[in-house]
Amino acid sequence: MVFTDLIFLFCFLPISVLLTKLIRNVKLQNILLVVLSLLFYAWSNPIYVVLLILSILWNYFTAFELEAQNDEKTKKILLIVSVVVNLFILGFYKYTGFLMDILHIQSDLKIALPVGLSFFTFSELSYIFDVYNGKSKPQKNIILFTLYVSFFGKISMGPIVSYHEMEDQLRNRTLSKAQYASGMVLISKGLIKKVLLADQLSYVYSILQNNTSTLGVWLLAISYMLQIYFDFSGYSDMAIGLSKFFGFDFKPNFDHPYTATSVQDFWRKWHISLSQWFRDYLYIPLGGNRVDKNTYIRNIFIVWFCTGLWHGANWTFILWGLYYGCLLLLEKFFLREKLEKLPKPISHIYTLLVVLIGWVFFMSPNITTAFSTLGKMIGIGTTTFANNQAKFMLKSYFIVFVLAILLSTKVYDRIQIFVYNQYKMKAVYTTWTIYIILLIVCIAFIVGGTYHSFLYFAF
Amino acid sequence: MKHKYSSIMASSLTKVVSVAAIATMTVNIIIPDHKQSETENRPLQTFPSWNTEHVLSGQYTKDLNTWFSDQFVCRDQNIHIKYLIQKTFGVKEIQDIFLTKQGLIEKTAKPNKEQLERNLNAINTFKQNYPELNVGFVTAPNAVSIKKEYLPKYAVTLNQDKQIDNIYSKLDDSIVKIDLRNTLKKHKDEYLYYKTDHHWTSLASYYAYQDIAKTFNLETTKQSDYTIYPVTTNFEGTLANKTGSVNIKDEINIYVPKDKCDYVITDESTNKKSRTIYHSDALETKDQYTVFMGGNKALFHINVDNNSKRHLLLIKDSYANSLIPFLIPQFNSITVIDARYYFEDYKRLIKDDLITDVLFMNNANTFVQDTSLADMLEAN
Repeated sequence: MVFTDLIFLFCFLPISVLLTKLIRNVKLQNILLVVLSLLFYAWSNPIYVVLLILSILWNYFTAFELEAQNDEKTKKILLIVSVVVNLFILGFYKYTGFLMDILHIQSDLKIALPVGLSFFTFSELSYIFDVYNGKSKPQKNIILFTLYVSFFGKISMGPIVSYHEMEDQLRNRTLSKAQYASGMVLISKGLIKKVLLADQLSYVYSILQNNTSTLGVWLLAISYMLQIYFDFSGYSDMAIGLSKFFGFDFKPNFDHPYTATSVQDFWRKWHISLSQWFRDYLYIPLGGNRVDKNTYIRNIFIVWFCTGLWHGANWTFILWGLYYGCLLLLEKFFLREKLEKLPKPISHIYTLLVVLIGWVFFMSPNITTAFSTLGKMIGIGTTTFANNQAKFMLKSYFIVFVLAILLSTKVYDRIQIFVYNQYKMKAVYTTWTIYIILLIVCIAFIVGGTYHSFLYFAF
Repeated sequence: MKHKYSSIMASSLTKVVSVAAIATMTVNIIIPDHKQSETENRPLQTFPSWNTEHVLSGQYTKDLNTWFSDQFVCRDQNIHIKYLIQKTFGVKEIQDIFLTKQGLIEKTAKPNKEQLERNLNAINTFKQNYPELNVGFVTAPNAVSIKKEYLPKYAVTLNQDKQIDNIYSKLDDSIVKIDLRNTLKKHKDEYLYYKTDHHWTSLASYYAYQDIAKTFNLETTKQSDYTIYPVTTNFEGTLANKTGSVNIKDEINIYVPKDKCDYVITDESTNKKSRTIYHSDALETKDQYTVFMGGNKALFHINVDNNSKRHLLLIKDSYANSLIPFLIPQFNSITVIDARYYFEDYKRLIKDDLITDVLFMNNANTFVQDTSLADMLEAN
């Protein structure tokens, strides 16, 4: 099940909220949420619930072992074993095919990636590390631990909330009206971003796949850049919003990343929960920035190699990660001062361009295609500057592009605050009406997406 | 810092959306399931019954998702909202259909090249096997070709004229090739194609008939030879269904010869006989184009009360359905088969029905994707 499924929005979610409201006791609520979360997880592929539960049990018990162990050396070995087991599960499902490809092993073996595996494995790892570092005590209550790992608000696509951030909320949560209301606004925003912007842009992207004109390839890359932001941040907004319905407060996962003025700035604003995870559980343990220059460079490459690999089993993702590693090093050692001196718009354009180039690696099926796309963007290998397909898509989706670009900046928030101050209740009514209309349109688009009309009766 | 007014907005939005969501859920669950959708032309998913195997494989939950969206309240209205929004925002193409000032126009179909080659070879072989028969071949161009200049600016679609040229070039010269494009292009501003359907109108069929008559040695006619009856003015066809278009409606006219011509039509699948090819009950259904012939069936026999010595075998798709009224007075009998549904031995038909003429009549979009003609012609 995904958050944009009608059955989720109009069955699963309302029923879950109503049941939680009925049960006021937090302990019972937790049991309910665990049951709902497992049901949610089982929805797309029931068999993988077994995997999820095994993974939860493994980490639940290892944490006690870690806690009980006083001998530093044994403790470290234990930590390594438990991390390796987690990574093995992740690796088996996610990277086997890739590995066989590299080693040229021919096989028909097709392993489907369990939903959210990369996300919940990282949540569990954060727990293991938090316990190892003494930041948190092992969670004795298995219901609470299961809830932490599997809560349906975050299991499929994050945010990756580290254990110590969620620990208190597992036991003590209050459901306030204000929290509920802000959750509703976030869900609405997320749904609008995902359905009205991301899905439209992703259609443009799919049409332009084989375009051979310069304009077409630029539109292809830009539609991907906007699509992935609205898709992912929309989904994150929905996740954070609906978590509020159950009393959970998670930090924002995106903060207008396309307003960044340097690559470092971009990564503070993009998929924040993942960057934080890598900072807390890989970069800092490796020594952070308190090491000599060579170790630092090595660390950066390790972190960004892993970040790339985490996103998918393909050289393109690894290259994408290492590309960011290089850019960050470049910024740290050469560009930082220059960037700071530059006028903001220039450093903003620089950031957008390098991020766009990054997305070209990210979106391409292989590295050759990525370079050929980049070539076409500067006119190498194109047939013409702008062909009809590119012009047709630009003309048809011009408003969508403009809206998407505007909404990826802070303009919306500024306008919103301005009109509230200026027009007060009138602005409230207008905003309210716009939200309601957009939500109805969202639902119409989702229903419309399931609409398959045949010329002749289909049996 | 939370803004006071943004909290007011949030809390009132929350109330309305919560109530609306719960109401929608209740209505969706309470309203009995619909078995099929007329606008989508397909069966809808009803509430899946418990099946342990399906539950374990995940099929059951998949069916539940489909059930919920298929049975969603006001499902058909949602597609209209989507259409209106897309249209307002400048979208000019929905589901391979162009939105033009002349109505909805389907994109050129992508040919199934291998199969097309097979079909054309099968037609050539057919002519070789029956050298004594007068064999004609018509590919009706679609709106995308005739109304090319009305397509949206920069619209990209395959070149149908090239496709049709290619089809004709591969047919043996012993086959009478009838090319309707020049005639139809002369009348391109007229009402040749339904604005909401993938078929052509009776007017286009009338023009097409004149071309066919000239090359196939039939009598040409004038518009004044017919009484034209508009049988409906609120037809919304397949393209309207696919796009969800709003406020575009078509008129269906039927051309009845003033010189009365009696005939009996037999639908061989049901053995029903009738004295008219028109099905007025179709006007009460969604697909009003089935007013012609009652839709596509495997085999019809039309026996005409006249002195003609010619017996026609018409191998056709639905474009021919509105052409048949013009052909009827010219033949003593017409045997109509649709290769997509006909699985019997056509050779016996040729013998039993004393066939003298054969006409292949398809529209280009269907013909380039057809997968049944060669199989039928090559069957023993």
